[in-house]
Amino acid sequence: MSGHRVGPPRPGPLTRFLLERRTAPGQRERILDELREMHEHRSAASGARTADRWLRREYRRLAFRLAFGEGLDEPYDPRGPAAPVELYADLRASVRGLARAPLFTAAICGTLALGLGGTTLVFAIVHSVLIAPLPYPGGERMVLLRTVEGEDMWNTSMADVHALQETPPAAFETMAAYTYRTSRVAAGPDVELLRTKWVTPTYFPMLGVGPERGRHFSEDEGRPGGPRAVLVTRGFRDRSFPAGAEVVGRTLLVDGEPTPIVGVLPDRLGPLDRGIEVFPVLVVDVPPRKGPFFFQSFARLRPDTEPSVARAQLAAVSERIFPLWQDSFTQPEAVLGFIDLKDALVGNVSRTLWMVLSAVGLLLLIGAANAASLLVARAITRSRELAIRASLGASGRRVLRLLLTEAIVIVAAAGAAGMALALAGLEVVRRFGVGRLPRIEEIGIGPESLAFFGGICLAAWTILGVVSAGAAARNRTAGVATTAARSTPTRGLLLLRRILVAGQFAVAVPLLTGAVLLVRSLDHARSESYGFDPTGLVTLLVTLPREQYRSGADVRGFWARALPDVEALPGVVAAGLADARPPLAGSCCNNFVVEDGEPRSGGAMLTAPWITADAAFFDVYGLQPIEGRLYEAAPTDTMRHAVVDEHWVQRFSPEAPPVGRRFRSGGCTIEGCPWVEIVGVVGNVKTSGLDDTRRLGTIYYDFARDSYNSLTLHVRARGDALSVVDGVRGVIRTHDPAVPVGDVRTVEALAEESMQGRSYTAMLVALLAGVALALSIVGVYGVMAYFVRQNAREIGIRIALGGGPGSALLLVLLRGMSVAALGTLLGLLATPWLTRPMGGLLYGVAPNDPLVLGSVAAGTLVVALAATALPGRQAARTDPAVTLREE
Amino acid sequence: MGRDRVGEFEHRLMLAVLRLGGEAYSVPLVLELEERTGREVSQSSVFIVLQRLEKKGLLASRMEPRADSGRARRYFSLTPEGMESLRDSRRDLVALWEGITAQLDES
Repeated sequence: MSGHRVGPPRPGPLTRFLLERRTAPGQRERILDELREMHEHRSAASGARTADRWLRREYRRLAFRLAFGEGLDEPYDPRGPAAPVELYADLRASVRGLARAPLFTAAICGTLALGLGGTTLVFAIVHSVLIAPLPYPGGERMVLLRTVEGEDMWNTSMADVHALQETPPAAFETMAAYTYRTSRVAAGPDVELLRTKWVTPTYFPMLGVGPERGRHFSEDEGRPGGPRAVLVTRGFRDRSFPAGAEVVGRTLLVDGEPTPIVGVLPDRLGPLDRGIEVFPVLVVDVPPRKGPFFFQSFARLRPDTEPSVARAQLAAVSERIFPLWQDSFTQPEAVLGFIDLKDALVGNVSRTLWMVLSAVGLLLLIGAANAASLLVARAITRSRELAIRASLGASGRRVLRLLLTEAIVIVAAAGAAGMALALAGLEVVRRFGVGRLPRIEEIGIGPESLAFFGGICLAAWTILGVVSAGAAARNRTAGVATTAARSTPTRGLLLLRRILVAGQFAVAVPLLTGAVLLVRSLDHARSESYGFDPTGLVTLLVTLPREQYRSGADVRGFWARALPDVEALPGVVAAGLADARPPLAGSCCNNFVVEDGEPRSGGAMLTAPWITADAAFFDVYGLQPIEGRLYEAAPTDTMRHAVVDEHWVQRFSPEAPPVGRRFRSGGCTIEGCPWVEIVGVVGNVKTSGLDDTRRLGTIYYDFARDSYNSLTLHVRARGDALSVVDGVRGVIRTHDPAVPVGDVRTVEALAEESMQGRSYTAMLVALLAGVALALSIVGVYGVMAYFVRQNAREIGIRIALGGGPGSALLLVLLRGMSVAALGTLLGLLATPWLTRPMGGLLYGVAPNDPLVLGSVAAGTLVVALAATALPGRQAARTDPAVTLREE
Repeated sequence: MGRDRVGEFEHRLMLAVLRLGGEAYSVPLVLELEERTGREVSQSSVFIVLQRLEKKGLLASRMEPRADSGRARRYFSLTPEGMESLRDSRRDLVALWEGITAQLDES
């Protein structure tokens, strides 16, 4: 040995610990001595370094062997070997046992993984969307202000915003308002048509969103006559300006007005601002009339403010300002109120989400029942093994521990697979849920979802453990040797399994019914008549710059020049203009007063969808007058003209002939406001989605009298609708290169878009129902296959006694189908509980449609029959001689 | 009642004990095995397998008491059953090898 060395390497703490625990007293020193002696030999032969390396390696080997293998002259311990060692042995035994039955393991883990993963996924969505507070400071105290009249609710007006800003109610900590517009935005020579959000200076400070560069709006910028200002997102900056350029202080053209950029916002804004990149300041001024109600206002209440107090203060504001606007607003009952901002954002999705969560919860129950029933089956098969173990002296505790360990292994595997499933599902939801789910950027698996996941895993483990331990306990007491013991102790367990399988059918049937109802609703809605032929129709949004086209005459002049050129394009049949696009018109209604109509004292004004269109629009959509005529392309008299549809006549003029009646726009009660004369009636057209059943009645108002800078160009093409788009763009460009064309969509795409929410829900529920049915089928197959194996003797005797293979098949089919039929019947009874709250989601089909219920029940039973027939055939093939000899 | 099967490493260890005069402890056993086979042998495995053979009743052991500054050693020797097991396996192997050694050399 060289002089500077103090001695051979010493064992590490783990090796020392294991030597202490796993060797007899005195043996530890002996082993270390012999190792050191060997070290000396190696040192002399190949050098100290090599010897040291060898000794360290040997320590590790020793530690591994002691930890996972046999001990060395272990001290006698009446409690048995150390707990971790035994746990490891149990784990190893479980993994090996499960690996020996790969089909069983796959079935049980797959079933559980679906349940665990699906429930976690939906819980994560429900939590992020419905439960988690809005990601704003004091988000739980934020309310959206609404004008409320009885059941009706609508937005606030500039007049309301102005009044609230002048004298804010004491209950408000802060408030802000905004409105959306479609604006022409230009950072350089290119003009973009963007959805912009005009916000008051308080808006971003209230949401706790700070600009990354620059500053918030100043108070001055929100005042009438104040300087213009705009905030943009980082994404907009990176897209519109050269990289690295300082944009704060630069000018953006917003609707032709030079507007300085005062700050750059982060890209990730909250759920209120999804998809918006440009935020000009909203100037609140005294408006000329009470309406229109285009402004969203929201406020943060002071902590500990009673909602009723805040409501009373808002009602007082309404009462105070009512006399100011009496001329243009005749509804004293309509007062300011509010709803929770989160509810407003989440809206009608909450019912769907809760429904899906309960469906998935049911699925988890099926999964757990299925897994438990599989475990019971295994317990029955293993009852002899366990009985042998018990009779050989394994304590009850030991057997129980083995079973619980097995459950741990199963739940761990299923949990890992389930979590992977949930994460994958989350990706899918994020990709396909955009525009269908609010707050989608907040959806993720957070600590709450992880806790939930942990909880259901623990619950699943408990259920599995209790069920299999219970099954084992029942069997352990039975004898091992007698052949009779083979079936008698398992009868109770078989019954339990049959009940579990019946329960699966009882859950699958309502889900299937729901899915079929939703799919049929979708079919009904899709096959709804548009009221016109949608093939070859395409719509384009065209916005004429306001600074160039200041008057209606300018706008009409442009279109008078451009439209004939569009119509002259090859492949174009007709082209027309309107400010809406059926069947998804978007913002709906305008209010109006009918001349000689019933006076409505204090009530709301009449409202109906109101489409401003030119005469050519009717050509494009093939709408012919049923009564009267259409308005002319070039009107001559000073009277304003309108065309209404049949629903309008039924709703507003059921008695008097409509042609020749007059009405005028709401909020226009002052004398001198022009009357509009109805000149004709056309057929009904769907305006708010194909599945809209409201017969609202549409007014078509003459474009020649009232024209907007931003209009939709409707073109009917021969053949493919999109084939003419480039030509149309070219025509607009030749007439004025500064006019942007955007938002090109075919009418059929619009119709499909109006179905999106419906098809999304239908797809989701159908998927869940499919999984539920699959699990039930696996369940009934498993229970019958097991029955056949367990009763081979009885079946053999039956066949031997002359029943023939047919009797065996019948026996199995009757047994299996009785379970499936019982479950289906229970499911049918439970169905209304699921489908009745679905009423609002259905279209053209009743929740208790007997045809749907009947076909679901029949279909389920047919599939169950197929699943039972497989083990039945096996039973029929039983050779009585073989089975009897085995006994 | 069938005898416990003897694994290959167990077999080799028993032969090494025999080669070392019928009694040996781990160090000379490792050295002997390494010398004869030309491969490194893990001493830990030797500890474990020696103990296993003792449990099977094929080896017996005695502790050499620790002198003042000397070292503790555990000597293993073959039991009559161990000797019997070696004889059996030799007989079996020789019978099986009979007449085929030439074939093995040729191929």
